[in-house]
Amino acid sequence: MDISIEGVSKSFGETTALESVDLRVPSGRLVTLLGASGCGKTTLLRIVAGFETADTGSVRFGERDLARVPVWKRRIGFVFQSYALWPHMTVAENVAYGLRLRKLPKQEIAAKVAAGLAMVGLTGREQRRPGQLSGGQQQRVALARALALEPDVLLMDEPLSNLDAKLRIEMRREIRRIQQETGITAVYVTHDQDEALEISDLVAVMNGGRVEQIGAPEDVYDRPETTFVASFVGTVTLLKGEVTADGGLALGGGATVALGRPPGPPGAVVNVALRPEDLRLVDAGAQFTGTVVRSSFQGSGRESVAELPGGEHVTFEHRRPLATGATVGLVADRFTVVERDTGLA
Amino acid sequence: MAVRSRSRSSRANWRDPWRLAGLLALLVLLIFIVYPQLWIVTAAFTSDTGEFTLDRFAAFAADDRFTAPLVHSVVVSLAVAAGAALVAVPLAFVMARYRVPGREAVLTLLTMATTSPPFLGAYAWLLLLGSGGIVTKAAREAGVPLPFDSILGVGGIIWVGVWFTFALIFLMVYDAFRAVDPALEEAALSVGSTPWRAHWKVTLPLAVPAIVTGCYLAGMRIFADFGTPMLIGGGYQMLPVVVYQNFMSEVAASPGVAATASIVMVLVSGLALVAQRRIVARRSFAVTGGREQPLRELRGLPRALTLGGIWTALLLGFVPHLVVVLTSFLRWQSGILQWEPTLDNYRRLFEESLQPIVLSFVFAGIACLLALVTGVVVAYIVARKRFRISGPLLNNLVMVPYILPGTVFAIGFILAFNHLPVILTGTALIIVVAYFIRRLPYVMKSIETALAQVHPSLEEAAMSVGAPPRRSFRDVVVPIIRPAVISGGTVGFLQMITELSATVMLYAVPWVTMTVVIFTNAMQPGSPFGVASAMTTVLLVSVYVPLYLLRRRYNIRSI
Repeated sequence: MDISIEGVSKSFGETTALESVDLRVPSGRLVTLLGASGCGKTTLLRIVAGFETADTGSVRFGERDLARVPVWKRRIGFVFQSYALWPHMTVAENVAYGLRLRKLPKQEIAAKVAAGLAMVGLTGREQRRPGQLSGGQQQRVALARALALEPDVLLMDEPLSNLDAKLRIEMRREIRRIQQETGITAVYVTHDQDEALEISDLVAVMNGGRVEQIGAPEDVYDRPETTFVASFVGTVTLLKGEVTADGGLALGGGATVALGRPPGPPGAVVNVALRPEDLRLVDAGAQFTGTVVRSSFQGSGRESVAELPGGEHVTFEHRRPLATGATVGLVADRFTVVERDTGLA
Repeated sequence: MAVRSRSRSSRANWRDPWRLAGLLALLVLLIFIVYPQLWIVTAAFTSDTGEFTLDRFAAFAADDRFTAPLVHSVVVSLAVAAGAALVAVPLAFVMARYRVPGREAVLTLLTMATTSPPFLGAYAWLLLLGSGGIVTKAAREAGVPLPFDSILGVGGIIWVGVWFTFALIFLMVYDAFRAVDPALEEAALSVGSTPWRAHWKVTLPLAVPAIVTGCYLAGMRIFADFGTPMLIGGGYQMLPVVVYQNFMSEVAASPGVAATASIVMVLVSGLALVAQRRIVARRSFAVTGGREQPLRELRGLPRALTLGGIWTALLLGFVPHLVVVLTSFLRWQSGILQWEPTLDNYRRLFEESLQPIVLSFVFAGIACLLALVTGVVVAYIVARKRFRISGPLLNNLVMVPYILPGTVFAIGFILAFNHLPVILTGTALIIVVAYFIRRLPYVMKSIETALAQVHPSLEEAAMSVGAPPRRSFRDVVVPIIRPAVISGGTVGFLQMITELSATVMLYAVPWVTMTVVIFTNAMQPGSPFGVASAMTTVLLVSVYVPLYLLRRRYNIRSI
């Protein structure tokens, strides 16, 4: 079941939460809404769920227009940041509640609850209360509860942000596995770019109530369309400058760099995005020469920042230790020209 | 598109059953809170000829038949609050920090003490130390000189008030002391403070909000109490009594004087509330979380002093209960106690006065149910709904009875409901409604606190798996707030069944409650004290049995 969102706007009093958002989630895919807090991603998810009403615009599941359909008739599964397990019910009762409302036969309910808990690896915990489970287990119960009714879409609102780092990585793989096994259409809200890049079919990067870019994780990372997307997803060096007659880039600080190929027609002002892994230390033939101002060890490698003569900072990856103050030469193996300047994250 | 979805959302709003329930609740509050108070205001600001005037306030201020009781009321309230705090704060500190044998029993007894009937102390101390009291008479016969003739007078009121209210302060301050993170004191010690200095400079200031709130509650209980000064005031006049006598004797002529005094009373209690809020707001530090206070051992003399202090205070707090229960099993002859055990009092009670017992239960029971239903509606709307007008209106109106002394409340009811369009005076309904409205703030607050624990996502989760709002309220919200509803309801019931100050003005024969019977008996020398004691015992049983069951099941405190 695909989800179509067309022209959805929403404001709370004076503040605009969403500004004419369009988004299509193809059937069976997982789309993440990625953005900083306050960007409107949770509001959009809650409008899809029916917890909030859009001021304008429409939401459709398949051909079904949801304008007049309340939450309880939308056939959704929702996973909350706070888990929202009912404390007065056991694990099994939590999962079974929606099935009971449907008045399914007892045996069928029992079978579905057992299957659901098996899927999330909680067989044997049926009679526990939510308070007796760890955070990760509680979120598994919430997931089983959301999926027990075999809903048309699965909506998840920062489901892992209350878990510790290691469990978060384990659980996001688990969520991806279950989503692919069940083939359910899913929308996943997060502010964590690693999470978004790892689990999504499509990432929608949101900023200030708008979707800035939607695309496969690789596209969003490698070919950001706006400076906001480039700077929000991963680490990036953004260099703004004017293309010179010989195809170089004249930076604001006065220096001109040659990037191997012209980043645009002469005279154009462009933003060039460089990922740390695209830059390479060289002894001769450097495109950039700068002074190391910061260098940090990150286990698998090092990430350092060099300051160019004009004051611009360039972040790059390398392996061998570098002393602060050393002069380094860098070459960009590839770069991306970002179309629109929407500010930095 | 825009137009369509906007009209949809406003229609959905009006279909929300909470909106209708909220409007109904608002109507009830307007009729039974605002309307009677308007009558009091009108009566105070119009002259006998019906013109607007401020003369009544000028007359009030110039007449020492009113100013003296006003000063007395304020002074006695402050004295009681201070005295009760002097007893309660040290005991609470010791109990919070040291291992004290019988801790649970002590806490249970203190909880019981906070729900004892407001006039009980006065009645029982009068039986003991009145001019014809058991102790005074025995002392006179034995030739032992007493430092006082009888308990009647200002000293008696303060004495009774202190033992009536110290448990209230104790429980609040005890919780505050327990909540202080031990790390805060350790931090003080680590920078070179002595333990006593740390207590004085760190722990005590952190408990100030609780102490102030406790003192406020204690002072207000005495300020609004009608029974105690009426029974043992002697010639010492206090405002509730003066207002009562004035209104009851004058009601036919002009209610203006009593109304003026009523407004002064409300002003004083409103000012006290503002003062309490300001002090607490300025010093409210969040000290929750962190570790539990460890309990330290106590040995030797300090231990003996502590235990002695705690049990002496408890004994004095429960003297009234013991006296009443004991005397209910003894024979009385024309107001004089015969030391002769009997069940006669109870036989007479059940033969002659069964009706007040039944009526008290029926009135308090119905009022309690009304308060629960309205409390749930108001609390839910205040906590969850974003109604622009009815939300804030309900939230503020519902708290108004909190600062209305029972006497004032009753005067408002009589002025408003003894003529068309709503006539309630002389009916049983007026007592039920008075109980319901007076205790609504307390019931509502306890439910609101519980609702704050129910995260809205719990209801949304139920809706997401197919439960309509009504169903999710029933299956999710109700089970979670049930303990709070039950305990709030029980405490409300206990306060209603022991209510005297409004009842004594509103009741009309045959709608007589237990408290009225006890009070009228206590006021008449030579009346059947034994029967009154027996009835008080019945009242105590009807208060403490539910409280005991409640505390065992939910482990709650009643404030």
